[in-house]
Amino acid sequence: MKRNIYIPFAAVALLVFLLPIQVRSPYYLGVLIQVGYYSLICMGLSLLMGYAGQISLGHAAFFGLGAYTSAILTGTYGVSPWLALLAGLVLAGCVAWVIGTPTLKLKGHYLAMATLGIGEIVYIFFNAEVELTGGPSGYTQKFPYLSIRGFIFNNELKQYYLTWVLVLIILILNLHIINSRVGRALRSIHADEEVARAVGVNTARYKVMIFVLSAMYAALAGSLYAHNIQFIAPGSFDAMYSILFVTMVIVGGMGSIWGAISGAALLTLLPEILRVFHDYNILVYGFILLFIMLFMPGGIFGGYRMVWDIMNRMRAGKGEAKDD
Amino acid sequence: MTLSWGLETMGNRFLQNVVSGISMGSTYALVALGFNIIYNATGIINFAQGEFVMLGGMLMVYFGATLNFPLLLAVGTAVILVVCVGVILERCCINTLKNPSILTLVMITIAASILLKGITMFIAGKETHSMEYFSGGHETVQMGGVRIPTQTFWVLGTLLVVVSALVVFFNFTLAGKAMRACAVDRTAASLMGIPTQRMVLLSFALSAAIGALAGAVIMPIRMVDYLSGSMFGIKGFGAAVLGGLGNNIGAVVAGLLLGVLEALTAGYVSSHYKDALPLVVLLMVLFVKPSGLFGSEAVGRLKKF
Amino acid sequence: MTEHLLEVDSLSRNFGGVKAVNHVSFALNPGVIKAIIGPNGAGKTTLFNLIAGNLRPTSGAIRLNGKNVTSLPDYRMATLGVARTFQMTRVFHGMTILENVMVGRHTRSRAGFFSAALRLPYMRREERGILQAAMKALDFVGLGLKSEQPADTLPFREQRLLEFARALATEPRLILADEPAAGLNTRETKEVAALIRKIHQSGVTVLLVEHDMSLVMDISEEIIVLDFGRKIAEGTPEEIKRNEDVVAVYLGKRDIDA
Repeated sequence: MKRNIYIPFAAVALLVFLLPIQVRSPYYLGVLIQVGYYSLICMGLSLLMGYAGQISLGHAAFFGLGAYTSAILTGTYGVSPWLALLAGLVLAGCVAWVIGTPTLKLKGHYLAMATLGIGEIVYIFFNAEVELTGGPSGYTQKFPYLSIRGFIFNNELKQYYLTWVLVLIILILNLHIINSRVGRALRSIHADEEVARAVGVNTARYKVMIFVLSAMYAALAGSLYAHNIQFIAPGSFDAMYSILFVTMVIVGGMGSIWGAISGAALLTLLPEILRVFHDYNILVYGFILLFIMLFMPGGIFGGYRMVWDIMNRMRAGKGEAKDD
Repeated sequence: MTLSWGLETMGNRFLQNVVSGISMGSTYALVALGFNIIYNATGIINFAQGEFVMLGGMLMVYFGATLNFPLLLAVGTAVILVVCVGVILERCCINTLKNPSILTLVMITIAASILLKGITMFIAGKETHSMEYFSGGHETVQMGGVRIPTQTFWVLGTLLVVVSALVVFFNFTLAGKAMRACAVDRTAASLMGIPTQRMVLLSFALSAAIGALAGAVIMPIRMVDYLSGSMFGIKGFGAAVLGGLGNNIGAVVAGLLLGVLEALTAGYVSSHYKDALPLVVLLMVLFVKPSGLFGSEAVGRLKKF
Repeated sequence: MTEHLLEVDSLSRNFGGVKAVNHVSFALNPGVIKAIIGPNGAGKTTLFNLIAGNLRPTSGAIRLNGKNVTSLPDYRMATLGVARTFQMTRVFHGMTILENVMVGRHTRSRAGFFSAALRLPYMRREERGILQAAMKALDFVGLGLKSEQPADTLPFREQRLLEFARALATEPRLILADEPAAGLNTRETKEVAALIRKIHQSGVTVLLVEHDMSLVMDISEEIIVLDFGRKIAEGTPEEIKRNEDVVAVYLGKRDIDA
């Protein structure tokens, strides 16, 4: 089991480290950095959707909470950037905990709607509280870059490595979690919640924890994003982004960490390659999502598992079909 | 003299807000009914419900204003087209999969809602659309100290007509009773010879029709654009949950209540946060009593997702 | 007076107007194999679900070693040493047989998100322990050689064995077995009977619900008979066989299947 994780991880890490040799232009590095942010968000979402079997349609809110907390605390209040980042994580985690605890006891569509709702509320908040956030035109105060002991992350290349090192760290932590007692508990919840409870897994608590974790990953991405772009506006955190993230996870395959990164990469790089889409991205995303849900609900990485599932079901002759 | 005049003004202001709340509230009630019908028949939440409303509004603008059809024809055409959309949605997406998980079905309706937004944007652009009130212009009527837009009567009238029609349908027609049977127990209903697949199709068609009507009739008051569906959808869902998911009386009461509360928030607290109120109410309901005002404990846990 | 392992005290559960379980009382002493039998619709599964914590009783009490556990949910009951197998075998698909049983060790281990993410030494030690205990449970039921196979590829009978292994991994004091012979032929039923006896000999108390009379009469030390939610008889297999009410219920009375 252990050897299985580290080989692909090493391959990805190698790719990440070597890519900038080939990709020199700041613009394309910027795109890859974005893939990094979205990978962070999607890894968390993928765990939530694949293991807890819940959908969050408001994850852009957590992304935004991280961004605004970092920007405002460092810009308006002069707090140290890493501390502000931590504050963002805590804030997002608390919000997720408050929403998740009551709703995750209920059926899945309640969390979907609740997260849709919180996404809208947070978006309205960013727009309405002009004094704090700068309102619809964005937060225009100057705030610092991230830095470690004087080394300032102030250009694309440095941002690229900062972002992707963090992504790789979170990646390996997630892989460890999946192959542990916690991971097995999560997988058992996904497979058969009632039986999981029968062997003592507190399913409600685990679902909340994974929701909180996913919110914190999104907030981390938000903080990095803010310190990179040096300007944030509510428009980057609206409902369409939340849906984009879910699309990425589904395309890559729910419950697969590799799928999360692939989905993020695919849906970020594709529009770059096919520039035509820009205005019609909503149409394209909707189409992709529908197509995948109808024909490949397992996504790319779920694909082979789905085939395995189907074969097993045919052999065992069971009537009940279970999707991802 | 001034005190009583002051009170009267306060009272009028309050009533004015209530009046504007009733129009939106009726819309939320109609959307909530749409959610309930599909939920009762299938156990899923149709995330594209709001899109039916948006499409109803957009098509009404096209037929009623751009093509200048007579009122009834415009409404009729708009509704029929949206029903077609609903039927296509059901046939192509819901019906095609063999035994899909409810999570999958929800994701499909979400995908459909995004697709519909995209197609609408492609065809109609990003601008907001509207037209004049059905009885002409943007007339208001003075009742007591309150100005009531004439369209409000159209909206309320539509709500009444729809509710009456549904009451007749569910209680006095075979099809309606068959749908109620499906809602209670799908397997038993199918064993009784009720074609459950067709019931699902009917539920989508009905919800689409109701949504389209709601959109067509609210659009002169509140303009629509390709993104309007989301707000209608979430708030309508909030009304459905507040009233008790699956409970139609609850849906109507909760919808009106929500509309009025929203208007009062806009009038007395802040117009920025007016949209947030129904969402906050939704969250409160989910936290405190997910079965809503009129629902039973079982509702929260009943269906399989 | 020896302390009962499980006490069910005037337990009732209504569904609307239907009294599925109607003031049922009995006691289970440690180390006993007790069976609950009765015609279809008698309330056996409901009673089971009440004890296991899946359902809340309308009235009455359940005590485990004297401690009131009436309103505890199912996952808490598992922590207290009550394990359960299901009538329709439910294995965790997407996981291997070994992993299925390792989930059974959940309540006997502690490593959380943090120690798992960092793979702390205590977590790795604990993982080794979980693996060993799980293998032991698999060997006990005879599935030890198949540990790496995906759980969904098991034939029906072995899925039943896997359920028992998973239940045993929780180190239970009491196993609630829901129709362990369901879907098994005569030979397989005898094998399950042998397994239950083996479990019993290792010190675990067994409470089972069962329709298959041969299994019930073969291994049970005590039997309770339910009919229409009420307990109508309790005693040794011999006493039950001779009990006129029981015979009437199974043979004479017109059976209304719920």
